[in-house]
Amino acid sequence: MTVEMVGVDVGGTFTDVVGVAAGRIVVAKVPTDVHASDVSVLAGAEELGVDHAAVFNLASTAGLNAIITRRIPKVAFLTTTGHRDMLDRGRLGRPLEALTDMTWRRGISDTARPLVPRYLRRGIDERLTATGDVLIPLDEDQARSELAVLARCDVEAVAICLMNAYVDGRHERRLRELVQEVLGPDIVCSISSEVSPLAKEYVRASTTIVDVIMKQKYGDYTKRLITGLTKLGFEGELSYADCSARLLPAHYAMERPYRLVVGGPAAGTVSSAHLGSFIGDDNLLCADVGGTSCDISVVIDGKPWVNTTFELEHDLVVNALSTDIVTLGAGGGSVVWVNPVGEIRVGPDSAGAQPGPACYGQGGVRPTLTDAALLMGVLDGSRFLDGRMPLQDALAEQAFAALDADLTLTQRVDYAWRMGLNNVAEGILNIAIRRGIDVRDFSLVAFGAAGPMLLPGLLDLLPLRRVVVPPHPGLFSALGLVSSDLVYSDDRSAYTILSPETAPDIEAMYAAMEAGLLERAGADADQVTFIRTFDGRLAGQSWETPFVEVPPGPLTADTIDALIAAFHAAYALRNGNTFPMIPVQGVTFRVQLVVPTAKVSYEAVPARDAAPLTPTRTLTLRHVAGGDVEALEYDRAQLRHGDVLRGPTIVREPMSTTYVPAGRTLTVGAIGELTIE
Amino acid sequence: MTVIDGGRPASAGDAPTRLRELSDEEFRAAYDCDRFTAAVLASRFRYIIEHVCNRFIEHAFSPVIRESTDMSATITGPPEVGHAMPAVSQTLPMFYGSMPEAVRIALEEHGIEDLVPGDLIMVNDPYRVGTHLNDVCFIRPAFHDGRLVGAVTIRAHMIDMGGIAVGGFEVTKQDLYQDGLVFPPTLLFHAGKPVRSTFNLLLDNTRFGPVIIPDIQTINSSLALGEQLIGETIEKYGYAAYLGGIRYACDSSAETMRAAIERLPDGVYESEEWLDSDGMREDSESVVRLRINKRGSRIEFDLTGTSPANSSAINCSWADSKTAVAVALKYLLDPRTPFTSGSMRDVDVVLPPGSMINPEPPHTCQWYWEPAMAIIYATFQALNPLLGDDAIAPDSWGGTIHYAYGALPDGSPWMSTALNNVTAQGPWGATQQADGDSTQLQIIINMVDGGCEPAEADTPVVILRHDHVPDTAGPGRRRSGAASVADSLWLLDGEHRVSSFHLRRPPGGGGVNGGGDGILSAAWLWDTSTGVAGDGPTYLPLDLNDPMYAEAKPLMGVLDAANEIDPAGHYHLLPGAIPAPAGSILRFVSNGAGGWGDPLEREPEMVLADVRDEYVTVAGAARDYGVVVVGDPARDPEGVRVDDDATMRLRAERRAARGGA
Amino acid sequence: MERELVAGRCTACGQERLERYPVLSEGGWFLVVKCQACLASERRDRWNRLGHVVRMEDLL
Repeated sequence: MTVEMVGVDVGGTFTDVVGVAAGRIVVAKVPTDVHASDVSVLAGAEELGVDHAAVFNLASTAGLNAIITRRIPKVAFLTTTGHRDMLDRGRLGRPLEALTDMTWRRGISDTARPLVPRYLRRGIDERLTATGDVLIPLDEDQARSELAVLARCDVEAVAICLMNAYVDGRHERRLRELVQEVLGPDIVCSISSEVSPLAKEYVRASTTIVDVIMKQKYGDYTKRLITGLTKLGFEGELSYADCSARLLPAHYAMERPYRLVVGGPAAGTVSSAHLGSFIGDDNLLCADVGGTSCDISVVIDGKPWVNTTFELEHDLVVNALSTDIVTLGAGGGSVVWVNPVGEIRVGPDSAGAQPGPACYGQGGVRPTLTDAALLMGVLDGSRFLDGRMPLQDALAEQAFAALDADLTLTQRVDYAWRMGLNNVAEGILNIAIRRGIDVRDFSLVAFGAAGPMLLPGLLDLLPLRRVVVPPHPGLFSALGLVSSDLVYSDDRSAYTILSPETAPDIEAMYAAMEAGLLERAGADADQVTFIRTFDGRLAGQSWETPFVEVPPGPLTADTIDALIAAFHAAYALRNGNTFPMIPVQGVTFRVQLVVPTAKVSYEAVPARDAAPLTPTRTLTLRHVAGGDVEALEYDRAQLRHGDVLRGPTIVREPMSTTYVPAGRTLTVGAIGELTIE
Repeated sequence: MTVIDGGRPASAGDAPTRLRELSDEEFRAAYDCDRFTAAVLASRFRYIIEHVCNRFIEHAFSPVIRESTDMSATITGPPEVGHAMPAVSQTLPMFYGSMPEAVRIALEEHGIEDLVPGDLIMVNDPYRVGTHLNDVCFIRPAFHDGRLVGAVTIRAHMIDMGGIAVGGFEVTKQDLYQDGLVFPPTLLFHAGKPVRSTFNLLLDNTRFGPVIIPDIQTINSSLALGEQLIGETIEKYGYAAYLGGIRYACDSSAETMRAAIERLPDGVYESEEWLDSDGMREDSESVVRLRINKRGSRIEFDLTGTSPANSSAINCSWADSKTAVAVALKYLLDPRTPFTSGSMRDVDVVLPPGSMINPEPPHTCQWYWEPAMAIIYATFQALNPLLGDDAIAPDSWGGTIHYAYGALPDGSPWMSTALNNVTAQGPWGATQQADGDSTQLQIIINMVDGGCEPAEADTPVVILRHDHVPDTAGPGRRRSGAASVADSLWLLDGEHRVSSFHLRRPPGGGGVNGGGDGILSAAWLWDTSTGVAGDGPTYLPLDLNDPMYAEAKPLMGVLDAANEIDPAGHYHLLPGAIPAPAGSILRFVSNGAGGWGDPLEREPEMVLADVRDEYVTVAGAARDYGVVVVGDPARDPEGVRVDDDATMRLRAERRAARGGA
Repeated sequence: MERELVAGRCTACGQERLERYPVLSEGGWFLVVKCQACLASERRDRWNRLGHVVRMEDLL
């Protein structure tokens, strides 16, 4: 076998490999070697055959996992004297659940788990002002003396973030030279003015540290991967997915690898947007229900909703464009528990992969949503994961019985199922309100192993347009890795009031970034399109309105008004008000260069011929509100375009189950998608 | 079980049956719905509030809302459930205690029968609704099918409410007339239309009108969203179940708080907590005196003996005194469950009239959080000894406020506010679980800090230092976070104002269970006539003992003759404007906080790590912890080590000396 | 309004230690008659809406 394109999603337990061969989707699932995941990736590649593949796209959460578990290299941090404790301080503030809890501690602080211990954070005597003027010159002798301390400590990598370096990086560049002089020319080093020249020192610093960690971890990894793929005959382009699942060619990605810190989760959103283009639906709520949680993201007008930062854990933030994903406590492994006044609650704790739900028989004793689905009859314990992992009803029942509540088994199971759904419904409503969207205009794409069984029930709680179960719901995220374009991007901060006088400076900044991207992409200016945006604010505001689109054509004193008008329009769209009398300040200017690339295509499913639609069997759904009920069960492979099923009904496929509750209707679409209304 | 006017089943008789022990029939009889529905409704109320807050915060104009989330929102039920409050936003703790009173008082005073759909009532009188004039309550009565079913309320900080001080933060204000515009319950919208006379009254007497108007519009639309969601809830579950859900949410939190109170031993517990001054005179210390009487599930907080009301802004109204008790109980006994009006069911608060925690008009309450924090920390002092290992060492209190004003070269004004990173943030105290974080927010606030660079881009200041200072933490088996220092260099001439009220003694009594106290805070100014600031920009040494302090003008602190921090020294207070020419350097040092447990029991490896990380000096390790560390932490941090034998001897000596004392 | 002694026995614990005074609790201000031994309330009557604060409106 050999495939034309490959997408690989390296997860904590399994590495999912999807390929497209002559329009057919083929898959391989390989256990992840957490210490050398490149080995797993290459094993998957070999299984599929990559000698004819044009693209090999990889997403991995290895960076995120390494950082949140602190399995990281010994990094030193250099900053301006007087500011080394910015890493302990973060942005202050605590999560809402810790509002009145004085036992809470910042995860990044020196009392908890700092990325860089305080003694490896050294202050350097130098200071630039906010306008880039030298207030205190760089003291090279003092710097060398601090570096000598780091040399004694055998640090493996150095991150540099000096105050106001987003305005001017000259001190940082000189300091890097001194680092190489004292610690050796091969020391891995990142400087903030190159990594992410954006204002607000803490996030720029944490971005730079994450960057240098990723460089140290991914540099050799990439070399090994390229060597291995070449051995398998691969001659195409290796790319990595960034935090918004855009693809970056490997050599370009390695220049600023912090952007790869969470490849993967965003792929489901990109996959949904791509599916939307086949089924004519470009306003989507994307819901990925896996073992531990339910991840919700939004696609508006065909585009994923993207944030300007990503938070790896509380207050550990990077300046990476990242798909906005909200995690709700309603995965298959979300734990059912009883609060002090006797209420059944679900999540956010999860039984995870180990020990997993009670019915897995791996030692889990706390009931989960998967246990509830099994007891209800929604899951077929003998056919779980294609029969490879039989589930045990008795263990699920024991776990529910052990809950400390004065309720019948049916009440326990039914309350748990509905409370899980309730969590998702309230979470989706919250997202809708924050984004200013009306859920009646949105279809919900239900994927992940547990999405199709749980989420159709949302139609009773939210006025969603419909629920769509895509083809291959269990592999749908990985398909997102062959559903995306190649993107080169750059950004920098410069607090600039938009006015005829400043227009030439802004144009020059955009032009310089564009020239750099063209060179990186090795493309000609007339072959590609640049997308310019900026994050701006009204003078006096402390927060920015992101991604304001810049009108086409060069910026001049004559066209700056159109830019200002674009800001006011974007502001009104997000906030409902306009303030045309207040000056607009540009803060961060961004450019993207998009190179179209090959993507997966969904095959049409034929309409029903003479053979009648027949269920595989009739089964009884138990522990549902209103008493036991009979339901027909179907095999998804036997369904045809135009088939209509009435709930309650169950549709099974090897890696997933769709549960249509009573009162709902399922229709099979042109590419085999299941639409529940 | 229901919350009815004057009904007090818990204190009046025996505690009611626990909710989880009710049969399905009893449950339905009490709450007009089944258990699942009641649990969903209790969550639903909290979600509705979250939706309302998010709509407001994401769409607000002013930074104080958007980044400091200086706001709070609540749902309250209709008069038939006594305006019970089943949900409040998880924003500012100091806002939520007084909200049920605020809504009830405002609606009753306005006249409940006169309300119509689309009304919005504003009120900011601290004597009716608590906090200070800037915090305006916007109360939208919620209607469904023509019936009043409750209210949705946002309390939000407005950036200016008139008065003598721009923005309101001036501690020397003497009364409400200097303070600003007082609104009794007043219609701001009527039947969906703005009431022009009210808007004009507001806009003609306050500053920054163009910013206030959009925030008010956003508030009104956010509240309308809340009303709509309440309506949808009633449609789905029915009105009886909706009311049952409100009663259930309040009864649930009454039950968890009651269980927490019952765990305390019966008895009478007394404490006091001091404030340094009224912000105007050095000899104007005031005190909160607290006597807690606890019997079974009943508890009474009697604050008789507290100082009379101040003639400055250091007062808080009765409503905030109750909030302070509620917040203290949450922190100490029940930190994680949701707060509702039912949380205070078994708690009675007795407030002496005319005191700084129950003043009468026209006293101003602009600095309401200071007396309120004193009540919170008096409660910590009274109850911590009962909590054993669960005792919580107090934080640094914070509350140091700095404002500066001046003119840019073109004559336009610049202003540096309390949010500008000019002051030093203190640490949190220790608990049995962990050392305290350094540089933390005062426990009663929560916000996002943007860092020094935005401040430097917007104001003529360079923040030279934000460092932790060695040997400033409250020592203990678990230590507090370290105090921090903040140095700022001012690039233009300006006038500065500083205030702080916790320089004389450790907040909340300092360490617990044998833990020690942190250092006390201070601030100094070096202008260009001094050697320190006269030779151009430079880094000041971190040391708290240095000849440079003798050159400085002390702005606040208890200092010796050489201007160094010394608890036996002289208390400095500088009310009013402090001029500082371009080139001046300001230094703030924060308080430390309290340690937990005996410092001689701290694991030597942890002391070693603190020495390596320069939280503790080699000398401090011996003095405060009895641990002998050898090596040079500054030049060879991985070369430091503990001398085990010397440590054992030193600790034995310390224990012996202690035994003899 | 300060504390004043009230004659009678507490129904809950039987002691003669009843006092009348205003308290602030769930629902606002109440004028209570309360046993100082066991803290049970004999009476709880709604008190002034704003507690000790006198409103000039009342002079109208």
